[in-house]
Amino acid sequence: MTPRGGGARRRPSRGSRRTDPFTLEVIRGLLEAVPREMASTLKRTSFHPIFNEVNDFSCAIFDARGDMVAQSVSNPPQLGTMESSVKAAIQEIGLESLHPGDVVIHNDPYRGGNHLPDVTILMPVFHRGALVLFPANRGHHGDIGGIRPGSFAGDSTSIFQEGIRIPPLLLYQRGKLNRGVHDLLMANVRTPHYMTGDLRAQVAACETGGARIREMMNRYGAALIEEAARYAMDHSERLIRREISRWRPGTYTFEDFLDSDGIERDRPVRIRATVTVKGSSVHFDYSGSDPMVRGPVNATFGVLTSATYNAILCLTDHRIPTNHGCYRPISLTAPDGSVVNARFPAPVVGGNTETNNRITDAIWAALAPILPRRVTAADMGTTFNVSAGGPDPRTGRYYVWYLSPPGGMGARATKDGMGMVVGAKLGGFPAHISLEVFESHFPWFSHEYSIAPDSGGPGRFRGGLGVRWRISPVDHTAELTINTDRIFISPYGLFGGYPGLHGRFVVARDSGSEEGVEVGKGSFAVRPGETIFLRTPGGGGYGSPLERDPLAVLRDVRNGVVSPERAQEDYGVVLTPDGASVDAPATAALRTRLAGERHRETIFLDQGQAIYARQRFRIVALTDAPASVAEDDPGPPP
Amino acid sequence: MVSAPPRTGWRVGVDIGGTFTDFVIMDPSGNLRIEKTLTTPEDLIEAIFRGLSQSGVPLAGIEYLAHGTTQGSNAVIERKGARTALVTTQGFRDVLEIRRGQRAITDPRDTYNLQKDLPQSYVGGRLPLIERRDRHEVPERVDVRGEIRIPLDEAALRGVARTLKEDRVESVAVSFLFSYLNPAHERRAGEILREELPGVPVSLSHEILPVIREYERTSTTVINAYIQPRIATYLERLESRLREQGFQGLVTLMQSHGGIMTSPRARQRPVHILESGPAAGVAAVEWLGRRTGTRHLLSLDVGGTTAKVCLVRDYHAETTTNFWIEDDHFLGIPVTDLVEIGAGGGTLARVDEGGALLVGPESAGSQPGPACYGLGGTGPTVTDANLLQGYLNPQFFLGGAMPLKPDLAARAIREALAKPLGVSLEQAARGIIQIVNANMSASIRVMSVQRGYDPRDFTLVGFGGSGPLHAAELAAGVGIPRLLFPRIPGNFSALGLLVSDLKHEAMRSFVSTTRQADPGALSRAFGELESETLGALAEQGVARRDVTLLRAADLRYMGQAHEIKVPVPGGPLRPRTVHQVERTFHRLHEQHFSYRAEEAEIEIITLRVTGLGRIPKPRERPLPQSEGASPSRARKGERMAFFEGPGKFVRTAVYDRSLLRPGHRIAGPALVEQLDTTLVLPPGSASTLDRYGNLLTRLSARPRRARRIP
Repeated sequence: MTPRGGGARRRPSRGSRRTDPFTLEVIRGLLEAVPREMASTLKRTSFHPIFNEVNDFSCAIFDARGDMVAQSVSNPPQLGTMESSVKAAIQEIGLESLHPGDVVIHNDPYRGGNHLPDVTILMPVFHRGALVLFPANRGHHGDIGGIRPGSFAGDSTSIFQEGIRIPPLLLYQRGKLNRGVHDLLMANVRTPHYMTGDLRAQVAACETGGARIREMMNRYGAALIEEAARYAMDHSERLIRREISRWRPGTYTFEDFLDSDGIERDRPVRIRATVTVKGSSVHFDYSGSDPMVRGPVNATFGVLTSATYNAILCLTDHRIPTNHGCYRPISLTAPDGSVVNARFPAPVVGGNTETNNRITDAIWAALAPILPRRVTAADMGTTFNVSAGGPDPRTGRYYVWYLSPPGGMGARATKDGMGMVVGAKLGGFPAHISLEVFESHFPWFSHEYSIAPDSGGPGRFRGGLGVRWRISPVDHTAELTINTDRIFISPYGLFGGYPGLHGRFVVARDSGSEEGVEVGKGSFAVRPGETIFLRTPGGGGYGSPLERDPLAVLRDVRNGVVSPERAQEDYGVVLTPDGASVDAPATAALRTRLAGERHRETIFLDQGQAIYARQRFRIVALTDAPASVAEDDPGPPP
Repeated sequence: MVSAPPRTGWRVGVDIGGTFTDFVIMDPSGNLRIEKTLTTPEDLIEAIFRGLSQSGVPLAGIEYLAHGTTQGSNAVIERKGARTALVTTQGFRDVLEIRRGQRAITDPRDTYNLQKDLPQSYVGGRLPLIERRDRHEVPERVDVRGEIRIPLDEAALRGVARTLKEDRVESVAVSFLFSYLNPAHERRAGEILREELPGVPVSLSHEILPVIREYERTSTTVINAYIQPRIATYLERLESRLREQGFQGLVTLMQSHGGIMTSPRARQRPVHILESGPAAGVAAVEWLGRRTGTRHLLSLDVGGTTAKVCLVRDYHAETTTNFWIEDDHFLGIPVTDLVEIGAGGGTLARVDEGGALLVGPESAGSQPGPACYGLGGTGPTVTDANLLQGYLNPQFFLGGAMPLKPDLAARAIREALAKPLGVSLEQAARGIIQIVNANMSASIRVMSVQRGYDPRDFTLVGFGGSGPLHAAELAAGVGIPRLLFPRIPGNFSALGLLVSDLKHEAMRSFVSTTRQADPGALSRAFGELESETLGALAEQGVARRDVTLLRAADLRYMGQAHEIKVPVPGGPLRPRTVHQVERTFHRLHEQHFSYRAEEAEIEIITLRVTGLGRIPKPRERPLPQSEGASPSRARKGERMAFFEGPGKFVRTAVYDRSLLRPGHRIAGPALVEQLDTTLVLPPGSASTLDRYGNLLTRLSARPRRARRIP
């Protein structure tokens, strides 16, 4: 770690000699192990359950340009914006001003970031005086200040209400804690007792990564490591390009909507994606998306980029190692000042989760005609952000929690959708908290946590199921914030599949009245004895429900996840009176009748919202993919 | 009876693996021999009796038969357990299927995998162990303080019991919220269910795993209930067949943490034997360490499809309570902490579309197996590469029982790898070895460097059919200076069954901070755990004087979610002993995670007592000493073999292990052939045979360099 000489030095070129591919493959493997080890340190040493129970963090390493070399199992929306955050930090601080022992802290959405609770920590690692790599991680802190406990306001109208902005600053300078930065930060958050420890865990994770990188440098030299990093990126780029070049070239477009921005509650927010596939590249144009809105669902350009990358990585072979090379075939443009490319100081906290989801939803539906076996019907389409804070009656200390209960993923071309997954687009590693840990840490009580029946969108393949969760504060009044979506506009079905059941959020007051039903975004004081009811959305169905195997419907009914009524009305399946088997003749007759009289439009008008209905109808209108199109689709990877 | 068995009997270890059932047999005078039969998947017991009769051991003379079986994990993985029901707190029956809402747990590549199948009831799903219709709820609720908020509705429970009876449920699991804090409701539910459902086994979560986190506790309890009827039948059949043939000894089973339990106990708590196979190999390494006075070892067990790496420090392997079965089910009981990856002799190599050489995790298995077996396999495997590197003798594979075909290996590697990559056949074969070794090295790093241990302090033990082929190059790559090759590498895991002690682990949740904890209350809690442990061991026939008790506490800084297990001294605890425990915790935390937080409070989460019941060990007889240091009598020839150090093929001496004697010294490069494997000893290494036939190898200190090609 001792600096020897200054400035970045490159080893002299070795002419046309190249390192054998096996050595590079070995070093790549070592590089990919580093973020995994960092993640393990972060999980095990952090304090707030959002890190160590929920896994809402990501680890990666970047080269001196800020290009990502390798990542851990983590959270794609966080990861996709880390590159722009790291690049912003490098640009603002300057590579030449960084020294061994420095640690950078940064969370500003308007400097490449996503939203304020996600705090990025990066640490330069030097070899023989030259900066070679940055181990970095980003973690979602329980609270970062602002108007609502948990810093996930559903009603903010400016970023200044969402918490404290941290431009790229040195949290440690040459190994020494920058007390001023630290203390200023702690004075502006509700739960400094958590944040102090969690930042230390983030720094410890970078140190773990740094130690491992230095060992590699000593053994292989910086030049060979840099060569291996380039090799890894080029390799991933080739793989992604190969996949894209098999897609049918053309321009595809789709619009999906957010329920509202939380402020103007009766106006849905339009997200329009136009995707152009050409050769081995793919371009995204978001013109036609709504202008930015007053409420907290604006996405920064970083979030837009991240959602776009995530959409494409999910449609290509998931075994391709993820690094900057994967991003090279992807380009995007979006109107400045639109809801997907917001201008300072618009509020953005939900843009990172809700709008991020909707961008990916729009891309998948746009590509559904050419990749019918790769895409899924729409998933829950929200992170279902719920947070609360208040004085803990057991300790007197202020507590904050932020959680995201699991919901359904979309049905697939050959099977049902996965159910009960935390934030369907969060990569699958984030978890819901253990309820026993939840009650141990926070003064709350769970009454029910169960599968939500009839939440999966009916289809030949059914959408994944959402959950029901009922909770109450214990012996105190809590301030609860909800920032979710898909409360009105359900996740779409594909090719004749029906939408998944929308989510639901209710505050059941002592008086017996219910509040919050119409909102999905907002804040409520909840008194002891009052109950919060949450139901996360299910995923959309795939293919006509009249084509579903009646025995699969029977199994769902016997397991109580599809009601006999829905079996009959949606799937056209009639059960025998004892409910133990399918009445085959009655089912055949009913299915014939339903197929004849089913008017697709009416199915989606049940909420009386014409605009939503039109939107859904278009999605369902992709009823039958032409056979020639399906042949272009490489199908799911093995 | 365990502690004082007749000294005249035979002792047998039987380890059932995917391909082979391995035996280690010790005769009454202490001589060891090995036996191997093909596993009989349709009825695993067949292979046991086939092997026993092959070996000629008189069944009536066997005093001790220790067993490792995959029966339990197979039942879970193949969903072939009993029709099981779950009874939970009202409102929470779906915790088992919701799990923690994760879809990518152990494989980072699942992050972007939209086609993954979860253990849920849906078209394409992998099914939970208990479907929703067999999960029932009863009104009851214990709160976070352990106080009863809603009393148990016994009438409702009896109603559920009647439904279970009508459904002909074969096993029942009960898991209530916070039962680890207050088990009264679970206990009462157990009484009622046993009364209403005579003959149906009931597993209670506070007995199986009394720790916080409802999904994890429920899943572990459900696994126990799910496999219990099947394991019980299996063990009863095994024992009655043994007894019919005159067997009068004791049948024991290997547990997942490397301790032994008797058969009657395994029938009650089969969840403990789920991962017995990997644990047996590590138990053998611990024993080898004690036997040779080697405190710190890394265990490398490489078979046909996987490689398992485990760290043994001060003769002991760590256990983990955070284990996933196939990403589908959580298992929270202590399991030997090892890393298992898809890297073995049968592991396949391929070139991906981006032009990278990948090795594994797919495997050619034993059918068709590696290309060089000539059984129809065309994909290049690690064994094919080892053959072309000169490590394997085509005429002496499995002692010559199965001649290998180098031309088929060459063809497979040339077509699938060398041509598309534009490299020579030799380079491609070398590439396979380099990459599979890199994958195994990563596992060694996970177990050592990543946990704050320096590989230079360790000795690598290479065993399994392929471990000894790779061990030396791996050791050099990660900086391990010494290697130990046991005398019977192929059946070493079965030996582990014969050398392990009875073990019982009792645990209890004890939520407090070290500052607030009353040393008296702690002492009492440990005392109770100790009496439970002694009782469990006494029930299995161990005398008090043969028992060793070890205490530990799982601690963490207040607010953290993951604990570190810290040893606690025996006897009555005083404030001073508590301080000592705190200091140990700070030190371990710093060692693992690079910092300590002296100012933070330390939380106690779980107290543990481990009881070891001593079992007589084999007393191997030393081999006769050689007459000199030169092993010339054992030398059977030489051939060309590739070594990483010189970076080329070099002339290499070949030895017959069965002719090596204590005192012999071998200078590398050398190959030592034995029936079930070949030891690869690189240039610059120096090896000696100890009196029990173990080969100890020291590597030269020369660092390895990355090679460049024009």
